[in-house]
Amino acid sequence: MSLFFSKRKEMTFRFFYFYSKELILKKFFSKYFCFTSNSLKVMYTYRFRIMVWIIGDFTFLGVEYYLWTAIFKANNGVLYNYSLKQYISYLVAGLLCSRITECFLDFEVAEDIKLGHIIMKMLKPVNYVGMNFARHLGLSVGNAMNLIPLVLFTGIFIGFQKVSFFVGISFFLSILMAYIIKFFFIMFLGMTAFWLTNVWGLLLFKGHMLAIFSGQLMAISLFFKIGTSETVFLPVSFISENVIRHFFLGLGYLSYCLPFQAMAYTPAGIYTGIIPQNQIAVHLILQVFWIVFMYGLLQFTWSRALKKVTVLGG
Amino acid sequence: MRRFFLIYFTFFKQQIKLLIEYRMDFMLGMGALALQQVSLFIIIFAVFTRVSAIGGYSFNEILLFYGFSQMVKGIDHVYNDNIWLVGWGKIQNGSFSQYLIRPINIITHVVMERIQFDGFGELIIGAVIFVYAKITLGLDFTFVQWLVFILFLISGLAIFFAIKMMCASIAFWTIVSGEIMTVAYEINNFTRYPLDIYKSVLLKSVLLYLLPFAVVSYLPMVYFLRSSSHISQVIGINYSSPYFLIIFIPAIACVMLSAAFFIWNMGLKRYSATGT
Repeated sequence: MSLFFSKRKEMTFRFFYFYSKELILKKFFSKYFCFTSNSLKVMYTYRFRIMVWIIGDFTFLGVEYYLWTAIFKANNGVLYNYSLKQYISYLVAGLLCSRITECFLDFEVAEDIKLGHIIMKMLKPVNYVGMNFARHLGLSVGNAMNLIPLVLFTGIFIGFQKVSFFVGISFFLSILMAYIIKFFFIMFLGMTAFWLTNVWGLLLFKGHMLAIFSGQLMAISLFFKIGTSETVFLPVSFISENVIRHFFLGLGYLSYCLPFQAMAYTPAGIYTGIIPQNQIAVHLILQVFWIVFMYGLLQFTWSRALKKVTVLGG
Repeated sequence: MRRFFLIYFTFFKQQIKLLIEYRMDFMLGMGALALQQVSLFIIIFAVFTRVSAIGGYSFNEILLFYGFSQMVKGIDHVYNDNIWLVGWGKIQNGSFSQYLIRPINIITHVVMERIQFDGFGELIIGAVIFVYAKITLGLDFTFVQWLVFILFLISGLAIFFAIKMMCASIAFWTIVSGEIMTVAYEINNFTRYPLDIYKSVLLKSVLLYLLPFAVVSYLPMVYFLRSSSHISQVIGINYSSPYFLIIFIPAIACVMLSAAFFIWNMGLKRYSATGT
């Protein structure tokens, strides 16, 4: 271990020392760029898998489309001043955002840790998190390409909304930040394998938390709408209206306490106008907060993990 | 038969040991599946504070569909989870060969090897929702209806089994078939809600004949809820006999199961280790 530490420290030192020199900078990027292009190639080795993702997305959208169409139809085409078209385009945008920010590296990091491969990766003269980010970039390029059929389909059958310049810029900023938040979060989850060893359950848990609290199943603003307006029907006779309203209000507040809404709901909501213009700034600031928080958390976990790590064999 | 249970019990004991080893992971996994159920429930609940019926079905009726489909899925998840590994790499990494040299039927061995306790989360929540919906709807089953219900349940399980096995056996040709399995399995999400809301004929036919998940959970429940004229209109088959569905559902299950065994056996004949 001591060997690793000295080497790593030396490397970081060298990077900071020569950071301003262009040549080293170029070298630095070309080194990491290898991981980017490599991960993209790996992804496209399994082309069939990509087909499956695409079909999976269409399945998800199909269910949601027919479900919400039926819901809106049952309510004369409007649900809390949202139109069907706006809501469907929100669902599509949400799916696109969550696919763009998608990151599967949590499983790989966890597997690295569990099987001990991590020691070989740490010995390399690259920053482990940085290397993963480079790989993540490559995977994202792949992900973006996989989204082409979905985007085309949306363009033809649903149509893209035209947005103002301000909204466009905030959308762009917000998706960029969502991308970073997601990456930090995923790295953090992967590293919990240092303590948990087997993280399958945790990752599954994350998936379902994401589904509900990132607004993928239902826009978070709807929680507040239900919480603040009068309910028309009581689905369950023994739960009173007050309880329902408090429950959904609580759910809404809870989703703003969790990082998930910053990963997909914010960009998608901004783009489709589910988040009104006067609230955009607040959401962006919240995203900045989550970046800082997640970065700190990741740094903390990584430094603690380095002290703890024991690899037998590897 | 006694031998079968003996072996199953031995495997079961091993599974329990494994479970205790990764207690935290198990709890989280089970919690995760339960969370999925709860979150979907919340969505339905939220919607029904505003509308009284979706596609002509009330809240409790939707819950009945939902609960039953989750129950079938949960049972399937508990006992028949190992077959995923056949699709996802048992053939690729060569560990499939171990089944071939053991004195147990291959498919039985695959099934017995793993009991997925995570599935209990799905099963319990599904059952709770189902029972609640059944009581509030005032749906009282007579003895014969219970028999029909159990027949439907078994047919549903058989269809799940058949679809998973069929997709897994594709791996005999393609080495890995986990992706096909995932896609096929994900299609079952369509049947959380009644078939009535899907207006596409193509989609309906896929769900009824190609990947008959609608036969797993939609048809059995709608049999108890709606008249046969309504059902025949939705599924597009003109029939008058009230016993039609009681024949139709097990028939589909039998066809699927025999097709699955046929493909599986064909694949087994073709199987050769990858050399890893």
